[in-house]
Amino acid sequence: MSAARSAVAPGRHEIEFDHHSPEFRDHCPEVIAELHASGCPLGYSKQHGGYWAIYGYSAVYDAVQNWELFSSAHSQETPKGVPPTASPDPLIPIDVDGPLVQDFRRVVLGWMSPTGAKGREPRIREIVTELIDNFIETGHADLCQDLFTPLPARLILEILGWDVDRWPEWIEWFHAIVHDRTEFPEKAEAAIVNIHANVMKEIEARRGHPSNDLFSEILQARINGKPFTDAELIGYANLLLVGGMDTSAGLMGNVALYLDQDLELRQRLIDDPSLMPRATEEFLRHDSPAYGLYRTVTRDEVFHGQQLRKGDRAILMFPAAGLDPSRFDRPTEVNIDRTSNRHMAFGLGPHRCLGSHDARLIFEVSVGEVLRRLPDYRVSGEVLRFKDAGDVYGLCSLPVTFTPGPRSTAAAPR
Amino acid sequence: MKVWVDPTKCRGHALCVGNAPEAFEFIDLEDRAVVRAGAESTSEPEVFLSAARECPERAIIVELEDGPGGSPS
Repeated sequence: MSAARSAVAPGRHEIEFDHHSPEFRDHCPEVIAELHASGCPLGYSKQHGGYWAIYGYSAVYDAVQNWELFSSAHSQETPKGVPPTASPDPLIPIDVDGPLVQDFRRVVLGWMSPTGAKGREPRIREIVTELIDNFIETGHADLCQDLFTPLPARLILEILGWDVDRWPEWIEWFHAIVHDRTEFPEKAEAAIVNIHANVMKEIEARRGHPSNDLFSEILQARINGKPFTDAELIGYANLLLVGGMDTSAGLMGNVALYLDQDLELRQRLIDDPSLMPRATEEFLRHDSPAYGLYRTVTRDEVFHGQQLRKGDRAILMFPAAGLDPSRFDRPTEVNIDRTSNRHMAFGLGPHRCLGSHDARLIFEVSVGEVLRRLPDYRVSGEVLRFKDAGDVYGLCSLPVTFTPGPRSTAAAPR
Repeated sequence: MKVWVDPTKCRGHALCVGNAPEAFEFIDLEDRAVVRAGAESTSEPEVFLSAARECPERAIIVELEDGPGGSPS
């Protein structure tokens, strides 16, 4: 046994837990609170062939810094995920280990940096304005379907230089991969085939005809002197798309729903929009949707008192770490005045979310504009969550009504 | 007071740069933050202590004159 946090491994801490279950979807905060109340920062569930759920703040922190014990690698021989992902090829670089991660990230650092994201703020604002204009005169909308879902989807397609009007198709495919993969694997597999074919089309269109979009830049990039293979290009594009399309929409929906219950905080944010950056960090801690980040254990080792075995699968529950009562006072309460807020909503370590700078801007602009232009919105119908919330805990439908307002720009000609 | 961002720990969250742009700057193509030249003498210690408290990677090290302070865990 190697050096470990605990000298002895007691009996395995087993938990009744399934992050793909309806119970997790419908009672996520309570389920997480119960895990923390067990006093053990990780637990073993027998669902899906058995896996570790890692949810305690320090355990998640330690696991993510130790990639040699908790590998991110995914291959057909050693598939990653709980249950294993339907995609045969790795997403890049989230399914990669070691120095190669930074080599792959370097290709898009200029685009995805704080400066790159800031340069897109005017465009983000334009898209938000246009999407809100589409419904502001009617007095009702589905905030998820009419704003939070299309906004990041359109943005990432624009950045890549792909056909923005096809966002509904891409959304359908990625939602199938993320939300249907456990219950309807055949839907996820069909989506993978469609995505594969369409990414290949974009590759072919640029070979010999590079443009000044991000995807052309990726096509021309070299990793250790070599261009990307087609499989790597597909894995890379897939990650940019899924990262852009599902998680930020999930956060915005969760928060818009929360602000239907906490009208006092809503009023505070309306009265003083300068509070938005603080509020954004607290919402990231409290409402982060990004649960499904997986690792595979590489060797037998005792970790936080639990005996791990080589080949064990684990889910690193970053949002659960933000709800750990040993780190955050009254973690289930939203309190934008917290003096310290070291959440892990974007992950930590070598795989820190590359889209985090865009995500913060998208969130602040979009929720800020909702509060400014439809300040009295109220949920007016059935709120729907994706059936499987295990990977991304988000809403698919949030119907609201509000006092109709004027468009900001002239209606587009039809 | 001595302040630095540990390049082996910084993962480019950029919270320090967002909260105190006068004290930190970001190197886009290296995906990491550094302390601005001379900022130790122009910014208050609390600016750095606060940045160290908020850094999710615990990458910001602050050494006050009376011994190491730094990134509280």
